[in-house]
Amino acid sequence: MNILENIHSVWRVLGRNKIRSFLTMLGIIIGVMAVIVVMSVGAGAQSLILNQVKSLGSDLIGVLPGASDEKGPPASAMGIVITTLKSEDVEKVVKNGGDFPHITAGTGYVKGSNTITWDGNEVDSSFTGVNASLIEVEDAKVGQGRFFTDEEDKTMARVVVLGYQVASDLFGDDDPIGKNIKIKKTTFNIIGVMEKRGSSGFQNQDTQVFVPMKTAQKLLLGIDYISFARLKVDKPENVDEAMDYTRQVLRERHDIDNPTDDDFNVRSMAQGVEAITQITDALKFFLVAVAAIALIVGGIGIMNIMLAAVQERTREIGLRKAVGAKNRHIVEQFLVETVMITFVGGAIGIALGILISFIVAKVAQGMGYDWDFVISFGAILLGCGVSIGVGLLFGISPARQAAALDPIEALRYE
Amino acid sequence: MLIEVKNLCKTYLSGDVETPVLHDLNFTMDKGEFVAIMGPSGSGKSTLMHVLSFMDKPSCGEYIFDGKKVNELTDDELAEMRSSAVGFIFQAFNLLPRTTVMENVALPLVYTKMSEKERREKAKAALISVGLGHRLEYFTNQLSGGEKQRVAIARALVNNPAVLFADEPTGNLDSKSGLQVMKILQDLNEQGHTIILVTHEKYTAEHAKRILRIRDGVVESDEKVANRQIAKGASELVK
Repeated sequence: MNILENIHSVWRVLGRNKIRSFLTMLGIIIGVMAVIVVMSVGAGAQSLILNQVKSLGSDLIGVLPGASDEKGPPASAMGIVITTLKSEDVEKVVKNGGDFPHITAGTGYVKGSNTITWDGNEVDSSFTGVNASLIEVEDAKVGQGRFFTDEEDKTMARVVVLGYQVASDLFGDDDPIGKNIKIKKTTFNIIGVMEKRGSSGFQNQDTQVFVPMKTAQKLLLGIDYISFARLKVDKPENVDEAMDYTRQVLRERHDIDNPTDDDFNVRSMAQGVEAITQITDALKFFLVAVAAIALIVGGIGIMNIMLAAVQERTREIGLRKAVGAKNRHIVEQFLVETVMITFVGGAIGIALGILISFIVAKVAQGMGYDWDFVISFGAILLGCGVSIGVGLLFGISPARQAAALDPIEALRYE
Repeated sequence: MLIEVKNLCKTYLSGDVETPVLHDLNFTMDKGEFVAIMGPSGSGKSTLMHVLSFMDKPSCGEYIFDGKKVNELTDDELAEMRSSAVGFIFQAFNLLPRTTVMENVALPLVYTKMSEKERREKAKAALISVGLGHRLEYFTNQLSGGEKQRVAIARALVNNPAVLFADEPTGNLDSKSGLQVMKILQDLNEQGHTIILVTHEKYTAEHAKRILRIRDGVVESDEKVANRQIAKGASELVK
């Protein structure tokens, strides 16, 4: 009997027990599907994160307070508040433009959150204190009205520029310009509304509320430091030089002689992308490992069913041996059966996995995320390979057990 | 000489307990014989048949089949012998359920190098010879007991074996179907097939030409049948 006939006859056996065959396959279907979906969604999420970071621009330099290894997380990520970085530091780096013309703009950032009220309407929103040059640094555009000026920043003007979403939540179709809103019991005059920007840098830019830096520090937060700063460089190729220059200026201002004593760190977006890729890769592998466990559980299910099938078909095995089947014929029969179950299950799992990944990608895209639909050849190969491997691994033991049966004993089995 | 048994014994081991079933058997059989092995239950007649039909190995002594020393055969070689040299008819038929008559009869050929077409042709010929040419595509569970045993005979015949073994072939049948089966066996013997039958019924045994009585694992008597029963009727079934 050749392998094709073997497959044909096993196919008929499986067809006679449709429900049991399907339930046996289910473990493999779910396992393979999980591997594919996890790998695809992982790759999609990674693309989302990287696109978000890249959307901030590759010509930006970030300055974070606190020393840190270039590849490690910043101190603020650990929940440590460091108060040494000031607005004046940013000003100094940018204003010294005479010495170093490649840094064209810069702004500090401080963030807080509070309830914003207007005429009884309330929204929970975070507000961000920034300098007037934010427009230049982030390439942002004002849709209605105007952004605040340097002058307004200096004089702690109580003015506010709303993100697109905040404006429409609070005012609907009404024109918000000139109206007054309250943030933390302080009245602010709305002078502008930003254009719809979508999300970038891990933040939905349309829910932002911008207030002048000094106003945010003194009136709303009561602090004198900034959380971080972004500097704009004229061309990407000048980024490295600009980073060196920034470090030099900050060391001078903070009286630091030795670079190892830095109380700040300067990063470029490229470094950020690299660090994030490493983190998301690690996450992806972790998720694949979890999905692989699902596959192994599926395999054990198959072994269980095959062992039951060997018992159930003991008499058949005995008869086959009595009419001349050799041990290897019996092993072959059961192995072909398990491999077929896993193979068919694997194929269904791959199809479902691709379908679900596609739906996830479409839903994410529909929600406005910059999400790529990625199915890697590797994921499919892994799914197929593991499912057949599981079939062989967990099929061999029941198959050998079946073949080892004594024909007479097997025929007498009730 | 087709079968030669010298000082044959068989002992089963279960754990440390030895259960001797056959002791020191000696006999020979020639081609074309029709031998009934008789004995009460527990006499070891079934065990003897299993050893003779290569389903079990002797514990000691010699079994020579057509010049081959069976003691020295490996498991695979024993399977080869079951596949090519003998056919086996069981009391309980042992047909595969939910499988067609044709597939059941072709089953022994599946383990040979024969093509599927050739297998079907041989299975069909065997089924016609037991009068079941009209039941080829029936499922085995749609058949009567007598028909089932005839399918089993066709399956035993399909590889054209040197010896047909029948273990209580009429035990699960009504007397009419039983007679039909004995008729077929006698006709096959007339055509030159060697047949070894195991039974505990004197009447059934008397259809054979020679009776070998076994009691407690030894040969009690070995004699020709004086008044042989000849099964009549349904003779047109066998061509």
